[in-house]
Parts: sequence; structure tokens; C-alpha cells
Amino acid sequence: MMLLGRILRAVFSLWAIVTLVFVALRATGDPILAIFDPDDTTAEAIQSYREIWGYTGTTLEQYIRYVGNLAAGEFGFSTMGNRPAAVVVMERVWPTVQLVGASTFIMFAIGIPVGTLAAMKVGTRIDRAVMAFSTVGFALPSFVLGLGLILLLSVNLRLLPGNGTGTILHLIMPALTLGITKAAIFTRFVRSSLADALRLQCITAARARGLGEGQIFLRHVVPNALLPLVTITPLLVGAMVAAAAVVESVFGWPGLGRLIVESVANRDLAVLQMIVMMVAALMITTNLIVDLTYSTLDPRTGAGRS
Amino acid sequence: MAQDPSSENAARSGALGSFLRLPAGVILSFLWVGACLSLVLILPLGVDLNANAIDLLARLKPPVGFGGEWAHPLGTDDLGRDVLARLIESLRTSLVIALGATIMSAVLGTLVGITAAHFGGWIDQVVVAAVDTQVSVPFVIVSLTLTAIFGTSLVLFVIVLGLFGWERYARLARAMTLASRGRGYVLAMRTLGFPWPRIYLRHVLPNIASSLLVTATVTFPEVILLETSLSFLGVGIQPPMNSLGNMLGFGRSYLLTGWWIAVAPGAAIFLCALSVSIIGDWARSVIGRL
Repeated sequence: MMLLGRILRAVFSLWAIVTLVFVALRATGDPILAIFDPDDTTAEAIQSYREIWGYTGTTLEQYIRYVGNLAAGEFGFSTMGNRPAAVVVMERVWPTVQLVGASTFIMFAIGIPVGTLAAMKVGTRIDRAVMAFSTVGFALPSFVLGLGLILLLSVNLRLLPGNGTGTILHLIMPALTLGITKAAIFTRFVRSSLADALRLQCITAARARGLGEGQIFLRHVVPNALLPLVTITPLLVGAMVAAAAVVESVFGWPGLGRLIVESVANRDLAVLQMIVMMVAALMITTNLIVDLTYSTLDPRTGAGRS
Repeated sequence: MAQDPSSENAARSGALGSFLRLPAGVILSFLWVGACLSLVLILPLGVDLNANAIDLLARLKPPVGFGGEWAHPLGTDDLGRDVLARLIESLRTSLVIALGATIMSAVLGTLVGITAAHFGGWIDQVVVAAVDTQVSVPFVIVSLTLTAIFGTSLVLFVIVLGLFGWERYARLARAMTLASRGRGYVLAMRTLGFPWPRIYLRHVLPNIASSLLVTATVTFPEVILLETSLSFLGVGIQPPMNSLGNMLGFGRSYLLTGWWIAVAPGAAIFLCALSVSIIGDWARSVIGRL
């Protein structure tokens, strides 16, 4: 029952987003007249475009066809490239996957050791320093950090290319920018979930039984701390996709994020709505999967047993 | 309305001594926010900043300390406009918009949350589902989409920013209102025949205001970052208006020849977001101890 409810809610969220995009698109008026000026386009031409792009019939018919097309994976034509929107979007997916993957690696590489260190020393000077850096990292916008890195590593030291793509060197700065800003938040979560787990009574009990500290940490602290981390990580990775819009624009990285900005600038709605749907579907399914794996990680919740 | 996040007034209205006993970071944050607010509110009343005045003979002058003169303390940009004047004007735009947007989303979210808790049933279900949906799409993408569909306009931009974070207030207000409905004082007021709006406004809201205020101080820096990001990308504040984001966006082209054009707004954004975050963290810990 729980499982069914979760899935229903996920489906509802997707449907709500699809519908909102449709309503917003139609609220701006006739989409055909937004592209063509009726004064210098013949009525027949407008009519034939209307048929090609499926803008005929009542609003309800259009809505049903719209949902049907989306379900069939047809996202329409990109007005920027005059190619199917799906093709335009798909060729930008891989660079973003590379970027987000590398950034996630950096986020883990910073967040897990630093957060663990702070959790072991809660209340000490080390802990306070870690928290202070985390606050600073949180307040540092990615475009400021990115431009700072360009200024330092490209302009002054001439170590790395400041713009473009092609080699692994081009990936370093955008991945650092994205990874560091998210690591600031992630470190806090690692710290607080480990610190909470360390305070549990089962840890005291394990110590009383005379288990070694390493054993306690691996067998008792980590499993307890994993739960909140599993919840937050997909959210942070999703937030990276959104933050990529800024970072990719700063570094000229040809991924989805820059494509969003380009499609907004050119009002290429077919491309834009496809990205929105993709990101939303991705986030909703990941959240669903996280909800469902909960029961495996923590048998107490038992959401998976229906 | 208690949503105004400048809790510095509350801190100062006590003795100066207790203010000085706060952690140094919090004091510095209050001072920076206070300085920004007074620059933003007081200075432009009497002084004409002339932020868009072009002086082509004084192009790309460096700031004082890097070979510049006091006529332009932070240097000039590619058109010879004074960076300091532009910075103050940008700061004013960005802070006013962020403040307005925070108040908007706090009021909206709280209203939605209390309404959901009051009526329950399908209204509550719809609100919970809407909150779920909002959480599932990153807000940057929502605002980019809305800008693409409706075009860039100041009114739309402020409305979009005013939606940012509504779900946090809604969730919080709903949960706390539900909890308070079972409390003795609410039952007593109901028994005495007071109407619900009065109970919510005069009794429930003051009880949950501190938590909402902390949410606002945590959300405010994010609103600043969102506004500056969008303006940086060129889909937010449009010229001839200046905001910290679009100032940084223009300065980005001059990193090689005039780094100060980008560094000044970049540092301002960072310091504003940082100081409000520090104040927010501090406020949260104070309320947590109560």
C-alpha cells in the first residue's frame, strides 16, 4: 500500500509538471503567431505549420495530443537547429554526465573524509574550522568561484584552459567549481549524520562489549549514518544539474546546462521543455528509488513490503 | 509582519554589551548587513550616483591601491563608468529584490500552509502534492523555463523569485499549525467562540513566527544567489538597470584587462550571502536552545 502510494505520488508529480508546462505555453497566446508574423506570412502557410506542429483542434485535443506525444518520446522540433529537439538534447547529455560525475567524485572526496573528521571531533577547533569553511562554501556562488579559478589558474598562472572542451584539462576547473560548492553542503550532512549516529546507545553498548573502535565504526556507526546521506545525495546531484546551467556557461562547457540557457535566450521551447521533463523525471524516479531502498537499508521503515 | 529578516534591530535594541558578547563572526555579519542596508536605503536619497555616466577618457582605470586614483575608488569599467557607483546601485537592486522576494514567498507559503492545515481533506492533499512537485524540480530550471515562456520582464522576475522557497514555509506552517490545533490555548479560544482567522493571526502565528523567521534567514542568501545567477546568465535584471549579477556578467568579459569590474560585485554577493548565512545559523542555534 505504501509502495503504491509512493508511485502514485511520483506519477502525479510528473503529470502536474507536464500540465503546468502545457498551460504556461498556451497562456502566452497562439504559439504559431509567436513564431510567424501574420502580416507577412500567408494564411495557408500558417495553417500548414499548424497542422505539422499539431496546433489544431480544441485546447483539450491539443493537450491530449501533447501528452500522447510526450509519452511516445516525441518532443517536437528545435527552432534553433531545425532538428528534432531530442537529437539536440541528447548530444548534450554526455558532457553533463561527465561534469556531474567528476563533480560528484570531488564532492565525495572532500565531504566524506572532512565530514568524518569533524564528526569525530565535534565541538573542537577542527570541527569549528570545518563548519566555518562549509558556511563560506555555501555562500560562495558557483559563478564567483568559477571566475576566481579562471582568474587564478588561467589568467595568472596559465595552468589550465579557461574555456572550452576537448581534453581532461578542460574538465578540471568546472568540476572543481561544481564539486566544491556542493561539497560545502555535503560535508555538513556527513558531519551531522555521523555525529548523530555516534551518540546512539548501541555505540555505547558496543564499546561496553569491548569491540574495537574500527569495528564499531564500520558495523554500527556507518550503517546508521548512511540513511540520511542516501536521502540527500540524489538531491545534491540533482541540484548539480541545475547549477550546471551557470557553471557550464562560465566555462563554455557544451552540456545540458548551457543548452538550457541557450534555449531560453532563443526561446526554443521544444528543447527547453524536453530538458525540464528529463530533469524532473530523473529527480522524481531517483527520489522514488531512494524511498524504496530505505526499507532495505533500514528494515524498521518497511516501506517496500506491501 | 515579522518576516523582515533584519533581526539586527532586535539584537541591538538590547544592551550594546550583549551584542558585543556575540561571536565575532556574527557581529561582523550584522555590521556588514547594517552597512549594506544603510548604503542602500539612506545614501541614494541625497546623492545622485550617476552610475550610468560614461567617461570614455577614463576607461578601465584600476582601483586605488592598484595604480588608481581616488576619483574612482574601485576603478572604472570599459565605458569609463565608476565601479563603486555601479556597485552601490547594483547592491540596492539586488537587496531590495531579494528582500521583497523573501517576504513574498514567506507570506504566500505561510498562508498556503495554514490553509491546508485548517481545511484538511482534499485541500490538504493538493497542497502536500504541490509541495512534493515543487521539491522535485530544481528552482533554477523552473525560473529559466518561466522566463523563456513569458519573456524577460522585471515584474515577472520578481514574481518568480517570490515563489522561491514557498514550499518550505508551507510545509513548516502546515506542520506547526496542525500541532497547535490540538493545544489547549487554541481549544480554549474556540470554546470562547473566537473566529478562526483571529486565532490564527493573533495566537498561532506568533507562536510559529520564530521558526518561519529562521527559515527566512536561511532562504534569503539562496534568493540572493538565485537572483544574481539568473542576472549573470542574462535572463534576470536587464540593462539599463544594474544588479550584482549582471554587473558580474558584463565584467566577466574583462577578466584579462580589468579584473576589478568582476571582482567588486563578486565579493559583494559573497559577503552578503555569507553574512546572512552566519546570522541565520546563529539565529537557528539561539532558537534551538530556547
